[in-house]
Amino acid sequence: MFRSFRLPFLSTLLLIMIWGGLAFLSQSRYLPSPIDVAKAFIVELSSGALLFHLSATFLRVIAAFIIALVFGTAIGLMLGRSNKANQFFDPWLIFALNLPALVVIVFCYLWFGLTEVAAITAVALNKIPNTVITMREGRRALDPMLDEVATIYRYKGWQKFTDFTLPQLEPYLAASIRNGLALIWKIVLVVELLGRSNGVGFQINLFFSQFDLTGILVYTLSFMAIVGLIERLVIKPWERRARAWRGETP
Amino acid sequence: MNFNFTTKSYGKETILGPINLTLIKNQIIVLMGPSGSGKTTLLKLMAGLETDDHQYANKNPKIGMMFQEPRLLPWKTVKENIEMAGPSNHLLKELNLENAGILYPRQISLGMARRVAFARALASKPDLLLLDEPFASLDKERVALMQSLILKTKEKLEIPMVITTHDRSEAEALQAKIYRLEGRPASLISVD
Repeated sequence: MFRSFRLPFLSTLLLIMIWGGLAFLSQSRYLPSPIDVAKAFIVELSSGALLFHLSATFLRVIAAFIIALVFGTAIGLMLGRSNKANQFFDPWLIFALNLPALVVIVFCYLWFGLTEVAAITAVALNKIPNTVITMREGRRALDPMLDEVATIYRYKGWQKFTDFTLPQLEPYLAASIRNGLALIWKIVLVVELLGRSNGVGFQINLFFSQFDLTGILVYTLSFMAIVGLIERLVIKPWERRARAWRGETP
Repeated sequence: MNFNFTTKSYGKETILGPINLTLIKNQIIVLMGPSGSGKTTLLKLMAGLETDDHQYANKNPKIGMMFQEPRLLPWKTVKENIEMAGPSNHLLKELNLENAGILYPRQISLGMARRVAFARALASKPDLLLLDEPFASLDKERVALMQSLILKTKEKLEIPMVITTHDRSEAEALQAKIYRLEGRPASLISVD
């Protein structure tokens, strides 16, 4: 356990030392030192502001993430299964993939107002096309030979999905979850910056208007740490368990 | 148990001519013929995995099928692979797989994987057992082991079995009724 953490820990320590060295050399308010950021972190944490804004962002990320994963997976599986549906909807998918995130956010705010629903819808809509593409490829890669085994042993419906389909989709699902989390929280910040009155994105905008880079770093690094923890404590253990049969360590 | 199929075509090519095959209890039928002669296609028609040119699919008997490749689910252990079709305990013992129950398919040999696939086919308590090239790529010792397992199963379950092979000596060792698939479209020719 300790061995697996040692290299990433040393690497992070080196990065902080390089950052501290550059901050010391520059002596500029535009490059705060790690110590300044740590002090500001304690102030924000003890006032309760940090936890309040982090939790607002976190809830938006989770809501948009679940919506994007459910809808993206369902649509992706449908397109992967039917060639005709895929040909028909392919132009829609390409359009959605190339639509700038900012445009989707602006449209959602104009259509639904500056509301939570608009914010979460905008983020989910930005992520759904990526999930569709990944899961479509996963559906196409299903082994038809195993499909025959399922037919012989009379596996149907949900039981066939959980016993035959889901394990084959697992690498695609893992890729979708990992990329999704990384993409979604970045879009959530933009959504908050443009139209919410709380969250990490809102705070970054506030600190930006005050030229306060220390505050920006406190909130950004804190949320990055949360995403990192989710990756370490939730996604990786799940992947490890799901891939035990391959004899791989993710 | 009677199977009556019209022709079977893929695209413009007709692989199988009309086939009429009657199976009786406790009988082993061996289908012989070179690669591409339509043996596997005929087994798939019998298993209900394919339909003939009149869209007739067999759905009646409960089938246990062992495919040419073991087709084990790689994410399930040996025991779980058998249990996906039915209870495994006595089968693990009978097929000498007791120590392999917790292993994954990637951890076992081809010969053992074939036995697991055979156990899975038996676990479903079939009315008919279809075995597609059960001896392919096995050494002599493993072929003999597989043959003895098939004969023991015949004695114990008294169900009909249809086995494909391209080796006459393998077929004769099973005291089976032998058919050859000949021509294109192929028809069944009794060898005895």
